Amino acid sequence: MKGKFTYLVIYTSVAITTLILVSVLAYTFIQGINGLTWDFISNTSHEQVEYVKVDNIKANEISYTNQTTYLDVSAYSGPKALDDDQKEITLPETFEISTINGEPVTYMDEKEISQELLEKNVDLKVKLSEVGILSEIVSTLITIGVALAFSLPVGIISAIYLVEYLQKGRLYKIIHFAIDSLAGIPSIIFGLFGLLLFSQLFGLGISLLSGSLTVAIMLLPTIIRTTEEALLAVDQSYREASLALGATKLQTIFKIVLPNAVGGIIVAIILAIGRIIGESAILIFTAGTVDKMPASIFDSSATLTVKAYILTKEYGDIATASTIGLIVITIIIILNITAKLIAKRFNRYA
Amino acid sequence: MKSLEKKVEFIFKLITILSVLFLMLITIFLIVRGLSPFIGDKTNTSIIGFLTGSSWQPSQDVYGIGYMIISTISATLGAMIIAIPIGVLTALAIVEVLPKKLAKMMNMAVELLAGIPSVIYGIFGLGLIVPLIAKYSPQVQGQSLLAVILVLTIMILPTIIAISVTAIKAVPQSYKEASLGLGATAMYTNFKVILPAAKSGILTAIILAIGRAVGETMAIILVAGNVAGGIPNSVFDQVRPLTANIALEMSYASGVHQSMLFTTGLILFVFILCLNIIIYKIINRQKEL
Repeated sequence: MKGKFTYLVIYTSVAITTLILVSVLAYTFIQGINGLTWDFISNTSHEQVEYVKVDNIKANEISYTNQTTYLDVSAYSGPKALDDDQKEITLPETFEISTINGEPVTYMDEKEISQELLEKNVDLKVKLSEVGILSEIVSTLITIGVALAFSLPVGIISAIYLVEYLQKGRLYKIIHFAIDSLAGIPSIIFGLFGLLLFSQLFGLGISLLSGSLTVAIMLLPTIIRTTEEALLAVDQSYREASLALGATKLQTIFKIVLPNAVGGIIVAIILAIGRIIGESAILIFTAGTVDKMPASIFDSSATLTVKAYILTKEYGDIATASTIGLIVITIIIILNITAKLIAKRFNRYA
Repeated sequence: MKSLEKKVEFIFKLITILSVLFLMLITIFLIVRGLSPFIGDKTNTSIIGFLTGSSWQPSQDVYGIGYMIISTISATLGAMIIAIPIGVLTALAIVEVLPKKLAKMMNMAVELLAGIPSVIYGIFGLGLIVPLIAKYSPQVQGQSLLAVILVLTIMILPTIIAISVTAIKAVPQSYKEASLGLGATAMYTNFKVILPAAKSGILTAIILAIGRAVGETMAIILVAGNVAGGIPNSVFDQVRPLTANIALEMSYASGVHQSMLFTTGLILFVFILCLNIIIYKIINRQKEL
């Protein structure tokens, strides 16, 4: 009977793990799927002006923020409004009013606005903000490109040096300890470091460049370790044969060892891309949270996960954040499957 | 030809030392910036006061991270208590108990969980876990120590499972065969032979998971509540873990305030370094065996 109980406990653990995965995926899907439109992906965030007729705003539905420049009307039931063509559009929970019955709201105070809004039929000019993540997608791609451009050469060459030249000894142990320690440091500390080193000391400010460089440092340990393993997996006899035939060490490395380790290196790159996409703690400090298309790598711009975080924290917009989450999860699933396929294909030669 | 080889080797060596350089730079930066408020007369808080204080009011020169340290430790402990049994048992199931196809699927599921960005777990926590807790909590809000524990558990589970799977797989097949050959049942073998043999690997998994839990930022900010003081008395109290403190105020802090955030980072950094040294010792001990 004790055996049966143990099996029960083990299967329960498995069930809990599965339940967690399914819940997270299902929740993100359910919350986010509605927002997954082509418009969302292909546009940057922008504001749209609409002319609407609104009827029957109740007194408890009006609230104000930042009275000096604009108003927000929070209408929890989402007033139905008629636009110019007499078509019904649903206003979101919060929207910005520019004019009421033709008069700009900047000249009215709270009392006047309430009075105007509570009248039966009101003509409003409203600004609706639409979130589009094209700028975030571009920023993410830029970050991936620049981060890999810096970390791949440094990482791969370091791995080559460690495996092909050093192999053992005190220096090897020291370098390895440094690499392993770097690997365990939480990303927020990298964020602090990047802020100090790249943004302030190097004068790059809050920019994609600053963020990418910091991410590059964060990636170093992973790339070095994975490349090391790929290099170590190449049979020693290949190297010995090459050297015995008269090739120099460099020729052996670049013509024999590396081509055979290419599979593992590509897998390392794909996994690194996955990590870059998921990274937010570093980028939020070094690359900023600006929701605009970056003109260059010296601009500050939010990446996908940073935008999702801001949407959740500052706006409580879980739906849109989940849409971004859905996109990111899908990309990561594709990356994982690709990495697996490449690993299989290259291992056939081993 | 020989001189080219020597030059290239030298360049490679320099590039490799970059990694060590970065680690040193991070350490130096953190130490210099982090200790700067305590040198000289910039603040009334002493180092002991900083470490044990239970209130954080930068505008009044009050910097106490004591309650944050307790928050981080309680959250991590709570997550450990839940995640270690589930994680190790699931790992055991994947390697020894589940049929091959199911084991493969579980492995893929765990890899997927490991790859999901932390923000998404934070969104899940805020959207699902926090309202759930708010329903049953004696307090009015759902953001709480419990929420942080649950989110952290979900996040460290894949780490524990993945590394434990590697550790359990590494146990020589002969151990299992010998035990079964002597008449032990499969379950007995699992718990008395295989798991003890995988002990150091599982321990590494646990310590790496602790590191991850202590360092997690984005997800827990959304569910922690982030109060400015007060030691949590119950799991339903709001908390402010160390990482949340840094992340929340970094964007607008300056001067002594900003340096204090670096000091918080320094504490985290030192803690994680110690964990790494422990792992190193465990791995080296196992290699000697």
